Amino acid sequence: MRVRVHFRYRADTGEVEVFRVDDAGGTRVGIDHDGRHERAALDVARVVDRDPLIEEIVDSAEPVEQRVVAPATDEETTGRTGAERIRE
Amino acid sequence: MCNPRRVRVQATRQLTQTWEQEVRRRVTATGMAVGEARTREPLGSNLGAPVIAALTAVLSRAAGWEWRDEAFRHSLAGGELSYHPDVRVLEIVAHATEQVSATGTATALARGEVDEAITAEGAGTYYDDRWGGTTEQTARDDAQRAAEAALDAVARQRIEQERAAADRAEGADVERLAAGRARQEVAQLTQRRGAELRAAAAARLTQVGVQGRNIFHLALAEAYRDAILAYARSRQAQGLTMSERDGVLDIEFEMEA
Repeated sequence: MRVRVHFRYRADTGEVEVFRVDDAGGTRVGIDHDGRHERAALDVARVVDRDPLIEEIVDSAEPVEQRVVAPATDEETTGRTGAERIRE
Repeated sequence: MCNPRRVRVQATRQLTQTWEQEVRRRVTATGMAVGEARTREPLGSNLGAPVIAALTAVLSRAAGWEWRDEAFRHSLAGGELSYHPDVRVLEIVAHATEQVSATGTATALARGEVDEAITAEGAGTYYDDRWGGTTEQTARDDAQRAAEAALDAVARQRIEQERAAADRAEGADVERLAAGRARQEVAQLTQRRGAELRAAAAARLTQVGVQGRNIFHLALAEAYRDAILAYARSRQAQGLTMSERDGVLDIEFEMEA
C-alpha cells in the first residue's frame, strides 16, 4: 500500500499544525492493512517525536486515514507529538 | 657716553629648607549595571532524534547563532536567546543595563629637606664717564642684587624639583589607591543598581521572549524540514512537494508502506 504524508509546521506559533498519514491506495483493505498503515504512521512520526501517539479517525467511507498531530503545551516549546488515525 | 663696562658677581648660598608636597590623585571608574530576568523552557522531551540532530546542524550554520559556553546563543534586542542541547532547554534572558561611574580620591603627604650649596651669577653695568650716575660700585651692587635674586629663583626651582619628584614617586601608589576606591564604589553601585534594574528586565521579558521564540521556531522549522526530507529520501518518496511561506512549512509526499 501507499501512504500520503502531510506535515505542516507554523513557526509563528511553534506548533506542528498538521501531521497526517493518509491511505493513498494501492492495496485492498484486508489482512494487516490497518497494521501496515499504523506502522507507516509510527515510522514517519518518530522523525519528529520519540514516542508518538497514533490516533485513528474512522469515518463512514473508505479509505483509511491516519492523522498525526503535535500540540504544544504551555510548559514546552514543542509538545509531544500525538498521532491520530482516521478511518472514513 | 662711552662703551658700557660690565661687572659680574657670583654668589653662593647654602640652601637648607624643608618642603612638603600633598600628592593627590582622582580616578573615575565606570561599570555596567545589569538587571536580568530569565525564563527556561524545556523543549518537548519526546522530540524525535532526527529532528534533534537536524536542529544542532541548523543552529551550527544559521546566521546569528554562535556556540559559546556549551550552548547555541543568539543575541536579541534587549537580551539573549540560548539553546542548551545537553538538557534541551531554551533559555531567554532579558537585560536592562545602565552605565554607572564613581570617583575615588586619595592623598599622601610627602616631606623632605634640601641641604646643598647653590650658586648664581648677577651682572651690573656702568660707564667710565658716570653716565646715568653709574659707577663701578653701583654696578657691583646691582650685580650683587641680581645674583641674590637669581639665588632665590634657583632655591625655588630646587624646592619645586624636589616636590615634583616626590609627586611622581608617590603618585603611582596614590593613584592605585584612588582607583581601588573608585572600583569598589562602582562595584557597590553596579550591584545596587542591578537589583533595581531586575524589575525593568522582568517587565521586558515578555517582549524579548516573543522575539526569542520566533527566532528559535524558525530554526526548528528548518530542523523539521531537513529531518523529514531526509526521511522521505530514505524511503524513496514520490510526489514530494514543499513550501515555506510566511513562516509556514508544508511538506507532502507519498511512499510505500
